[in-house]
Amino acid sequence: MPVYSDKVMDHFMNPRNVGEIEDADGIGEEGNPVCGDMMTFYIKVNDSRLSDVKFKTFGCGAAIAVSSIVSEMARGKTLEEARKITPALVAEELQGLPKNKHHCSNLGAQALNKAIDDYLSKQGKPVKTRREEKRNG
Amino acid sequence: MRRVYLDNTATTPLHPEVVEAMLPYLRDIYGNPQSIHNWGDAPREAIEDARAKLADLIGSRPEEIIFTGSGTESNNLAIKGLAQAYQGRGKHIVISAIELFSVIHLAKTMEKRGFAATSVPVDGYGLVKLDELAKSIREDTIVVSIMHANGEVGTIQNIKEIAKLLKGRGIVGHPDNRLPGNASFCIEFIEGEAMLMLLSSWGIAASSGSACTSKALKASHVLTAMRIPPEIAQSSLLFTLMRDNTEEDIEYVLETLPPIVDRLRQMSPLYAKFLKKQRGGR
Ligand SMILES: Cc1ncc(COP(=O)(O)O)c(C=O)c1O
Ligand code: FES
Repeated sequence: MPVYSDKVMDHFMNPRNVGEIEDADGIGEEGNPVCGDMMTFYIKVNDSRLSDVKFKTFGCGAAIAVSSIVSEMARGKTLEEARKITPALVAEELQGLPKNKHHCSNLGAQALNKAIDDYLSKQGKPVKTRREEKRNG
Repeated sequence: MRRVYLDNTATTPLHPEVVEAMLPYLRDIYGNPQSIHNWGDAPREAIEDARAKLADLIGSRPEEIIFTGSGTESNNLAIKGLAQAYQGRGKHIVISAIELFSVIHLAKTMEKRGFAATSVPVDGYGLVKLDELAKSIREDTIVVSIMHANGEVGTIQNIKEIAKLLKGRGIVGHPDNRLPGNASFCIEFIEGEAMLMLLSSWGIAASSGSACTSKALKASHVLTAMRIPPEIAQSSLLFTLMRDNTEEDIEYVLETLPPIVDRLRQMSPLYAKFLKKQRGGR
């Protein structure tokens, strides 16, 4: 078993916000190219804030802990703030991840971003992905 | 909490009789068996005695038995030794796709040393395809190394048929392994590492061939060779038993595992999709 921090173990053993949102405003699904796992995020948006965030994850202990902490970090944030949840921040919030488990934190941030993209496109608003933001500085 | 150890292919406790037999040599009796002085006499006698007993068990001559420090060392010695001894006759070795890495990596090393190696595929049950094996054997084949039983999925090869293919052709067979108490599963829609972590929190040790449980993040080469789809390989769970495991141990596992499976399935998007499909939706 990889050496996980207490925080990872806590979020793995007692994951927060597991589930689906029936009438979600946005859904984001991301597959893991490294090991083939999958994460789905569901969001509700109120006044440009994430009023509810839920997830389902098929993956390792780290992936489950990552989705749980991402859901906690994202709740109550504005869409812009939620976009700033990077894999590095997720790993830091979890008191670190083993080296070969960093790709699991990418998965969480990406799935959340896709859910936000989905919400924006459903609203007919322009979807500005993080990649484009980066490219544009 | 009950503690149940079911990861015995990885490592297993010594049999108490072995401990008993070894204790004098770990504690009081020492000396290099090659030495001229008589400290070496007792260890030498013990080793020769063990060699004779083993030879008797398998019907060989004592001098044909070589002790090594590990399985990997034995496989290396056997295959490299045979290759070197018979290289005048040929330079081709055959293995199966589900051998241990100690054999697979060795075959790659031999290729760098001017030998040719063929890896024979297996079917969906992990059985070596005999027709492929027959085709792989060439004039210059000197060694065929195929494990008798696979410690990961429990497949037992038809070693008699394999031996028939080799008979009378001057090819040496190297059948690695035998195995009792192996129970290998794939529990769909959930991942192995997560299962192992929850099982461990309930005092149960098992193992998995999922990509997430491996350092290299690759699914087990055995499951891959069997063409098990990646998402099914992700859900691999393996219990390997030892003589000390009791009926109660297994009952405890049977009580503990289903709630763990349920709990992870409730979290799994794949399971949700499966349920929706079953209900006739998308
Ligand atoms: C049949 C067989 N050969 C070789 C090995 C590798 O053994 P070791 O870890 O002692 O090098 C194992 C280990 O599981 C094995 O089961
Ligand atoms: S999801 Fe596969 S290693 Fe984390």
